[in-house]
Amino acid sequence: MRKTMLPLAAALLACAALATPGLAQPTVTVVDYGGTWQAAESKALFQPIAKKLGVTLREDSLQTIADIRLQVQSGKPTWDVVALGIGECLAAAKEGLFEPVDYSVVTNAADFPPELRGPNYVPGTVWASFVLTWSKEKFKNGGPQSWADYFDTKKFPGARAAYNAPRFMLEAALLADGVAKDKVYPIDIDRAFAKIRAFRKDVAVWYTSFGQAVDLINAGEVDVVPVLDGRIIDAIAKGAKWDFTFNQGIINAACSAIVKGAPNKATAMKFLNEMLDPELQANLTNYFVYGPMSPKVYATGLIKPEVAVKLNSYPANFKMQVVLDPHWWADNRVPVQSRWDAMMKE
Amino acid sequence: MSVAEMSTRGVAVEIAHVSKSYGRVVALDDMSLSIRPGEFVTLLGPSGSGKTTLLMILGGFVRPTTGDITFDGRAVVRLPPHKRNIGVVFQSYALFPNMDVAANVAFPLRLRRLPAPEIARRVAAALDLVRLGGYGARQVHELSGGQSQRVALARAIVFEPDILLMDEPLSALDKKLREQMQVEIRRLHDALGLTTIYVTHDQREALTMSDRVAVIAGGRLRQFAAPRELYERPADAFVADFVGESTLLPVARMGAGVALQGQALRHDGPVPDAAALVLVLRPEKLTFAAPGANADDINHLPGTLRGIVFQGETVLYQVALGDGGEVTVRDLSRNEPQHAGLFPGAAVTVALHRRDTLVLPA
Amino acid sequence: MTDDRNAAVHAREARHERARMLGLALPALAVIGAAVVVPILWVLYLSVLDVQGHFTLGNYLVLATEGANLSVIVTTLKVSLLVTVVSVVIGYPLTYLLAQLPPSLATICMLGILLPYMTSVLVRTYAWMVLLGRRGIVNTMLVWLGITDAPLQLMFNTTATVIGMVHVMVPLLALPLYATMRAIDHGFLRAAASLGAGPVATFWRVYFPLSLPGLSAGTFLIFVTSLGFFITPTVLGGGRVTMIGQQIATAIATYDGFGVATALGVGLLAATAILLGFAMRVLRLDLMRAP
Repeated sequence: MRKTMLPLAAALLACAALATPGLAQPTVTVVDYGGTWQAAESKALFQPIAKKLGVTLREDSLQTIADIRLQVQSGKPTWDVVALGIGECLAAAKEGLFEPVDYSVVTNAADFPPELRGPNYVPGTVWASFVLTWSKEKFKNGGPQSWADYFDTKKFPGARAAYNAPRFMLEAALLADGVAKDKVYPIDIDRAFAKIRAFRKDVAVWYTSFGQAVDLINAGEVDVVPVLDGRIIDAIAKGAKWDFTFNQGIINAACSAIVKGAPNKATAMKFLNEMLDPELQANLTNYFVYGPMSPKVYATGLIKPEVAVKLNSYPANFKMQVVLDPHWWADNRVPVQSRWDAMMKE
Repeated sequence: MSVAEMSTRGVAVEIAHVSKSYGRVVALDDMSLSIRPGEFVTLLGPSGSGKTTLLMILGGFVRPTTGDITFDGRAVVRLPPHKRNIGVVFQSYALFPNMDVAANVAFPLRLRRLPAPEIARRVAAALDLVRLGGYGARQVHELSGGQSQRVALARAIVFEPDILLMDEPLSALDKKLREQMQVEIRRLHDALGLTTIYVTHDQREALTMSDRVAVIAGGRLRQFAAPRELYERPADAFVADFVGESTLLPVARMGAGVALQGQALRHDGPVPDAAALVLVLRPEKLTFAAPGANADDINHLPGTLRGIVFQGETVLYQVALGDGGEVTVRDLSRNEPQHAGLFPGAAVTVALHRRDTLVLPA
Repeated sequence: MTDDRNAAVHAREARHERARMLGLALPALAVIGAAVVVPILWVLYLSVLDVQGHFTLGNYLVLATEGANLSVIVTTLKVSLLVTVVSVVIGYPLTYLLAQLPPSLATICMLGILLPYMTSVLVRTYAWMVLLGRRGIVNTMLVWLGITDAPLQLMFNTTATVIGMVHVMVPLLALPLYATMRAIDHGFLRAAASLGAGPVATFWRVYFPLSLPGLSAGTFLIFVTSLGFFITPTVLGGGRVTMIGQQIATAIATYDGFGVATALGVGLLAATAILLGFAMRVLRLDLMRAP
């Protein structure tokens, strides 16, 4: 009896030993915008990082920086790492919602241009590009190729959808009005608004979210729509007979940061560093078509050439675009938004 | 405005061969009634007898299957209710809860587009008539049952209708108030001379108030007569049973007369030409006689006293007759000393005058 | 002596009874407190704080000086009022019809009316896109019938927004109104007819006033529910209809902190309270007075 008990006890002990490291492992909670994008990011990036660091990964999703504000105001935040658009990072950092970044740990940040990082945030994983898209059924012999074409309903007749927000739209308006790519900032607000005001009568529908824009595309309600590149590439992959161009795209950086009072700050800092690793970012392209942000990513040789040419950060594509200036928007967001609201209610 | 000024000449109502069926259920079967101008007629019957259906047909709320109705010779059967000029008092009163008392009474006058001062004058007069002067500003929900009844009455007569229909208007009131309202309604009828058709299942109410009573059962008219005749000369066993208290005992034909349990009965008038006959025994028509007594005008029925019930002004004596059922003798309680010797189990003889010996078709 | 003692006992019993009644009401009061009162107070509190958490009236200054915010409140009230009126115009006759049907049939029809209320807002809203869109059923029919050459722009405007919202709101009217109509005693209608009122007079002078409690309950429900609509005006309004919910979302994204967003909410709350207080007085009067 005693002899038979021993191996059983040993087996139980072994099981316990296998299980406990999991319990004792540090945890990190990573938060992005959710949906299919975060699912891809998780597979390509978060899960490999967690494995590499030996941490337990938890994930959540957010919609606006208000979600982070509620976390911080609660006094006991549960989130560690948050991923946002760079504009949101600037606003949240200004509000004091982030921990300072320890650049002695986040060494990969040094690869990036300094204007993409700050004391409380670092660059994110991918770029998102506001690009011009059109229905191939409507424009069988080639669609609009520039913002000038987008605003010109005589040259390219067809129902327009427009983004109901000043960011991206003001840049597009200036480019359409003939402003050179490197002269977009500081934005000539009056000139941009004048262009859009004249265009309002030609807009069939103003959308509020990019998801809504994709719905309009799929429902066939519009013929020309500016939308984020990831959204249109996904829609085309799912069967939409549409096309797009990176020409004059307005490309926006992402960012990452650690929530103020995060429960696992030290682990989160290491996690942040790994998120900027060029090889891990290269892996992202196996799952999603957004262009990785790391300047070293194309040098890794890990991105398939036929995939690389489709990405917004691929040098040839990147060159055609204008990089959105988050600092200009941080300084001008409130008055521009209120002027936009007033115009939309005219 | 005085009562005299308000009074309208009553109209004659002719109900000719009116029938109503709902699918295969016959609610009214070939009903004919001639009602004289200014007459107070009660439709009396048990529930489900068709009396309310007839009232609803008169009011125009229900369309008869066949038959005709005229008011003073004017055919009304195809007229909708609002063109018949009839006042209706409903069982539920149906006072509009969204209007005060005065507005309720003024409602029919406003519809007739009378000038405002005229409306005010008539409303006040009608409320005075039902003894509710000064109640005009009251809300409907503030009224007692009796007051609601009076308002409903005022509203039904204020526009000088040709006919007043009343559907069990007193059934929701307690006994005392009911008796008081019976007198008032009758007083109002006499003052206005309005042809009034009144529905009730309360035979005492019918006898008290009516010029004539139409007894209805199973959708058919059983008897249409003045209260006294109805009580004293019921047309059949049903009427006898329904109007007033009575015990019905089967009797057999014996020669030219009839017999109860083999005992020949003395009675006035001919024996009805019917296969089955019953004897109608009303408690107040019965008395006690000395055992073995004999008289030409009296039927003597031997029996055993079963019980005595004291009812205040009257006392009921329950008597089992031979082997032929139980009868009740009612006497005034002040006569009780005369029956001092009576006790349950005693042998008694019940006396019935030949004048009150009523033999009817069963 | 005995009487005195009993009096004390009865008084104690009465106190206990009151305490028990209060005890029974406590869970409900707690739920209302937690779900309604506390959030409203919290929103009020946030609306007078700046980003640093200091007291300020600056958020209300933004509310008052930004013309767009005021026009959004006006639009919100206007659209809600329009939705309420159209819902009543459609819902009242519909419910009236239902109330005349035999109860078993009426129940089936009521389920049909309630169906849109039981589906998700998103589905209902996109269903209207299928109907009113460029390639929608209505436009396809119009073109097929030759009434128009090209599809009409039926969507992305106030009309489409109101249609989409009315579709959802009619059940909110139908439910209380149906209950009220069913409870109206037919005796009143017969009485009115006997007193000389034809069908039209009977309806307007008796039936309609008696249906007012259900109508006003439904009207308030629709109006207040409409104020908070977000998805329908966003999708069907196509940027031409901005209601308060959308503006609050914009404010959250634009301004630092919750100050301006909560001030907008308080502004709407105040405007609604004033409007409903006024409407309540007017409708109460209607209920009391004879038409």
